[in-house]
Amino acid sequence: MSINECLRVEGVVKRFPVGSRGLFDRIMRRKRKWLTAVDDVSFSVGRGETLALLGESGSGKTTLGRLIVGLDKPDAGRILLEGSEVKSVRESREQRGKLQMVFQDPSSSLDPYLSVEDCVAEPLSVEDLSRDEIHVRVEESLRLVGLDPSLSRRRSGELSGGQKQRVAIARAIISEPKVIVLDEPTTSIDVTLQAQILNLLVDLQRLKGYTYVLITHDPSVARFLSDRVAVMYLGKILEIGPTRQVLSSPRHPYTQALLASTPTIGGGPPKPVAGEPPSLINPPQGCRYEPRCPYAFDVCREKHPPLVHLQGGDVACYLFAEKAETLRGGGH
Amino acid sequence: MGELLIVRELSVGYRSSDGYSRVLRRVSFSLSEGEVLGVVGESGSGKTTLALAVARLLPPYARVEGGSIVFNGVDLLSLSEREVDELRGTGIFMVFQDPFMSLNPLMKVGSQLVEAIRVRCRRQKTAFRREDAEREAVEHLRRVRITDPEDVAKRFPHQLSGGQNQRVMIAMALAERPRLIIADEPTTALDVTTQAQVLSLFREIVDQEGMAMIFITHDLAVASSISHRIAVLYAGYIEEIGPAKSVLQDPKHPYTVSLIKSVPAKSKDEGKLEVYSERNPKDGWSGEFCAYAPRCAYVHNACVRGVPALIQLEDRLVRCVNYGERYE
Amino acid sequence: MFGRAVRFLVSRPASLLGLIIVCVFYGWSLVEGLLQFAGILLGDRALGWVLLPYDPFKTNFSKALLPPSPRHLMGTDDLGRDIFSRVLYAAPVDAAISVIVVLGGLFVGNLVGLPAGYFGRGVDEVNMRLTDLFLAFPALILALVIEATLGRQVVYAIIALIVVWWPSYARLSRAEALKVKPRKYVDAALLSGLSDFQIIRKHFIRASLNTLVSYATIDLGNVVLVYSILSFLGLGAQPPAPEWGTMVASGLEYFPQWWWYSIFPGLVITVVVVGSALLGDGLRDLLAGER
Repeated sequence: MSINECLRVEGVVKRFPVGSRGLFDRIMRRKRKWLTAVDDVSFSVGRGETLALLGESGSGKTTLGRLIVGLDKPDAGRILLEGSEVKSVRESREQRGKLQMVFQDPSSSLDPYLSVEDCVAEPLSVEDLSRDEIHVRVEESLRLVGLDPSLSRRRSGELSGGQKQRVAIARAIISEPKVIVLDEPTTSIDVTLQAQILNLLVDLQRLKGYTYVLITHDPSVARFLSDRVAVMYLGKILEIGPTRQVLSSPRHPYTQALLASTPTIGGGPPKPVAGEPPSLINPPQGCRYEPRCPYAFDVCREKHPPLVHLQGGDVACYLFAEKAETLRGGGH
Repeated sequence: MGELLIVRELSVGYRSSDGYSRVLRRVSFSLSEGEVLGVVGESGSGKTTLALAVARLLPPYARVEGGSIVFNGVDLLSLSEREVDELRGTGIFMVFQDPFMSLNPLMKVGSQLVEAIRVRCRRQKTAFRREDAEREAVEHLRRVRITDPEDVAKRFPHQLSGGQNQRVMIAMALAERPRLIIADEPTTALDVTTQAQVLSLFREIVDQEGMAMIFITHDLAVASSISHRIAVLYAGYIEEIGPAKSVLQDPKHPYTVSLIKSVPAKSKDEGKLEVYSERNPKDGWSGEFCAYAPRCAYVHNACVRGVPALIQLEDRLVRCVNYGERYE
Repeated sequence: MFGRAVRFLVSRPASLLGLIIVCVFYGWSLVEGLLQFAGILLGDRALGWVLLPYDPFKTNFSKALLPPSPRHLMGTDDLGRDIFSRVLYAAPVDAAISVIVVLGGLFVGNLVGLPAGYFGRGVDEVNMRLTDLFLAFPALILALVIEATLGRQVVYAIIALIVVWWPSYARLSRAEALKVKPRKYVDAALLSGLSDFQIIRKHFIRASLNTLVSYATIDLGNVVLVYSILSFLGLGAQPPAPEWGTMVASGLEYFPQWWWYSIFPGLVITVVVVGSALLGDGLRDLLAGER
């Protein structure tokens, strides 16, 4: 572990049971179906760095985000925060302040019945603070996110969407976390407000040195906010590397397809990817992307390719398997 | 290529327990066959109300204050409910954001397509034969690139994914052959790759079948990818309307400019994103002057003298006194 | 916020009527109840009828079964007692019982329902099957059986009614818990290090009560009704203490010729039930609008 490493994910697997199992199923010993949301994922994030988990629904990015903060426990593998293992929320109270999350939907993030102060102060409940101390910390936090501290008395349900998201960020930073997972922080906000929230997140990171894990499906948000990008598909990382590299010169066929599908202003109809989004219950045996990949050949159907390290990033694709060994010129 | 749809001075308001609020203000535009008009607006801009108004699906607490919606030469607003019913299946087909709103959860997908075909046959006064219709239904499913169309036809909507359901909706449009499709945020809930499929399908059927389309979205990039013309809606007003390419490459109205600039186009190391103020359109706006003035970076005295009128500027219409002081 | 609620309720005729009825009923019961209580403490029961037109216990055979008149607004009963005074005297008991039962039911109901919704799985199964068990019995029969077993006292009637009432609140609070559970602020609370108990207390109870308060208000009247039925059947307060249900029962013998004996107490019960229903309805509209 390098000195600057903040977060490390090692071989993490998370499965969920599918469907409900009544008494009859149990008696008949019917086999349970499992859905593998995160399938052997490993990476690390440096202190003060932002890693984006870029993927569509079903890619496992949200589940991975929850595992990182401890809302769920991995079935295999482990997650280390500055060297110590991350325990799940119910197991360790002391760790709580260090891992925080900003959720996608601002309306669901805050209890509408509580005042803004009560919402923002919640992470401080593990610390033993007096009411005055709490009030001071809340005001400071609100100021940091660009809100007038007098807002603390208002009921959180009365605020606008953009204000709610700022309050959610204020809550996330009040406990001086090391890692903040941002789950689609701008998706549910009006487009003209997104810029403000993104700028705020950058400012906060520069000021306080937070490590961000950004979950998003939007490459332009990833491009703005993140230093490195991990492209996820069906629970696996298909490509990971510096943002500029991955988003400007994508190597994995899925990354290329994803970027080509994203509509841009001034662009015409995006080029669609063939095939259906994959089933998480019965994933392909070989490479997860093989059924939709235009370059697929035989070996792709046998086993999912491992992540190979190339200059400027890692890719999980047999197209690059040889390049890893010989590092021919012409590619990177 | 005549004008299929002409909307003139359409104003709609809603009655609520808090009073009455105007949601669409003197909206005017026209649409020809084979043309896609992208209507771009944020929440509260009135875009969904516009869709519902044209489709004559406004809720009972909505009031059309004025204007006309002339479709195929007939003013839809002058028709009674019964006459509108007879008109259905003839002209206008609506696609919602949530396909579960339009698809019957209790009917198999194939049967719903057959129903759509039946409606079309009745309107065109052609004979309806069940086996032919069933075969045609499968063909439509294949046309929208659904894998295993025969199998899918036997399934129920909840057994299919969101993307598949939206494509079923497009298949129904193909089956009914409307002249106008109104799509209200049809791809917002879909994945990017699925969205790409659905968007290219929309564009295909518009081009091939000569249908007209009003595509409503909050996402300027999505509108850009499929529209021939774009109308930018703010607080119930059309602020700018013109050919998609020129509106996007050379936006005139300050709000359009802010929408375009809001999409991050660089990395954080290259500097901050430009920001426009947060206030709600209703804050600080009495309705007597330009709706965007409270948030506008280019605001000055002339902006609050009255509500700006739409001005012809090059290839489009803009509602902004910076281009000429004319008021409603 | 309270002012806004009152203004809302006052603005609608139906809920205004309900509000008036409920306020009159509980306001009067509070005053009269305090007087009766003070009377018992000080050893002078007469305090209980200081505000009443007549002594509710005083019999006068020469004035038996008089029809309603300006002097006896609801007439007199077979023992010559003024019915109106007896009705007023009996009010605090019903008022107190309705409040105790509803609060008790809310307490037990949330205790069972909120964890069921929050934890799900095992806890949910156990709690809900328990709830189903109690819901399976018709309310009245269950109350009868409990009281018959425990004894014919007001206290046992209260216990019986709470036992009958909590299951519906359990179901309702579980439904509310299920609505709140997927919301992200629950996850945020977990991330803040709150324990499950703290989370339920901070985030779930308020939401649950918000919905339940309108049902509870309607139930106030319903409890009065059911308790009156119990009294009618002889399981409530024992004579000579006046009680609305008992009075209806006693008056049946004299029905229909001396109709006022049964009708007036019954009418009063009806008014209270309808009043609380109207108020509860108004509350529900108020809270629905708030969301």
